[in-house]
This record gives sequence, structure tokens and C-alpha cells, in this order.
Amino acid sequence: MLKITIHNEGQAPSFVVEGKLVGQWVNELERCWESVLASEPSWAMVVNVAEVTFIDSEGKELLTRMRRQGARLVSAGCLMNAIVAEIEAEVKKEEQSWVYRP
Amino acid sequence: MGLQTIADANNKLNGFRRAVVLSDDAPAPMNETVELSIDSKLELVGPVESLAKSVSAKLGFDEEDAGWIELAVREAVVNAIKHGNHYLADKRVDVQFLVGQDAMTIHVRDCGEGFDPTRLPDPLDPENLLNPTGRGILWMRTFMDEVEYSAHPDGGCVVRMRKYKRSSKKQI
Repeated sequence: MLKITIHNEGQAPSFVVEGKLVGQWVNELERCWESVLASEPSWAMVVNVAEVTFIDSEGKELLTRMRRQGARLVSAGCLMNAIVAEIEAEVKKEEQSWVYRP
Repeated sequence: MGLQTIADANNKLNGFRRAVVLSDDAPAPMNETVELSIDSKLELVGPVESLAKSVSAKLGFDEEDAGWIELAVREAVVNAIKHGNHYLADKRVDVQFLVGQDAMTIHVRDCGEGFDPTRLPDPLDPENLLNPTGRGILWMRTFMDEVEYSAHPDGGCVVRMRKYKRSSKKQI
């Protein structure tokens, strides 16, 4: 089961994702994400994945794409903390490689 | 009836092999649930519509049926925001897609007091034909195979809609 909760209060929309972020449901989350992003472009969007119980490589790739687009990932628990830490490290590394060095 | 020749036996065996291969290629039975919960804001209907269309296409509904499902879900969610939650942003609309092997069931729950669908004006009544609103429930009943309304035990009104795949409509 996958549950997506979209909050659109305050300045930035936020997503709460619960359950299994695997297989075909990854595309559904991406579709929702793109749809909200299209109507409310925001760099400060929060994606709470604290209640994700299982995630596959496609799910991780989607979270990485979201992070690259400026989303802030909120996690809890060993599994999701580790996944989000990996994503943060990967994105940080990419950002550092973009720094202009004359 | 017994097998007469070795050729008969081989034909039978090949048929069996084909059946096994076909069953391996067939899509796995799906019994999954995806839920979406939104604030009562009309601008958030888009993601729900998009999810409805994409889930129904994945289940194997053709483009036409997927379009009808999308419209029915849109009507149900707009009704929930407008009439159930009266646009109060802190009241939520929960949409649940139950994906089965031959049908999709959709629950749309609002936080309203509920209503009696039999007491709504008939949109086909000549007096109501020019009325710009009041056709949502008629559309939902037209587009979907089953539509039911009930009160949720924890409060709010739930509309349950089901659409069968064309190949399984004989089961209705």
C-alpha cells in the first residue's frame, strides 16, 4: 500500500509518503509530484518519507530527483534515515562538482 | 477420449506447454491500494485526476474507460470539496484506489454531514435542463459500473465507485 498526503497550507506544499514506495507506485508519486509542482512551483517543498516502510531503487531514484529539484526530505527510522543520508551525500557531491573554479 | 497416435500425444503436450507459457506471460494478479489525501482546494484535484487515469491505464482499462474513470473521480472529489467540506482547507478529502485483477474500486471520503442522493433534483427533468450544476452524480453513475454512498463510521460521507474491465463485465 502506498499513501500520499498532500498539504497545501502555508508557503510551500508538502508531501507525506507512507507505505511501500516500490515498482509502479513510484511513477504515481512522481506524477502527483509533477502535477503539484506544475500548479505551485516551489523550491521549498517538503517531502516527508518518515513512514515509508519499504523502498526500491526506482523509489530512491525518484527521491533523488525530488531532492535535486530542491525538495527537503524528512525521514525517520534506520532505513529511511540511511537512504536519505545517501541521497543527501550524492546531491551534495554533485553540487560541489558544479562550483565554478577559475 | 484416449490419444490415438504419438502425434496426438505430441499435439496435446505442445498445447499444454503453450498454456504454461501463456500463464507465465500473463500479468500477475494485482491487489494493491494507493491512497491520496488532499486539502479541500480545487487546485489539488489535478493530481487526483492524473493518478486515477494512470492507475486505470496500468490496470489495463482502455483509453476511453480510463477517461471516464478520471471524469467520475474528478466529479466525486469536486463534490467532496464543494458540498462535503464547503471549501474548508483544513478538512481533508481522502481518495483510495483499490486495484483488483478485473476491477478498480475507488473510495472518496469527505468530512461533511452526508446527504440523501434520492432527494437531489433530477438533472434530466426539463425544469433542470438549463441548470449549470447538479449533473455530477448522474455522470458518475453513467461512467462507472457501481456507485454507492454511505456514512463513514468515523464521520464524513464516502462514495464508493467501481469499474470493471471490459473483459470481466459478464461478472457484474
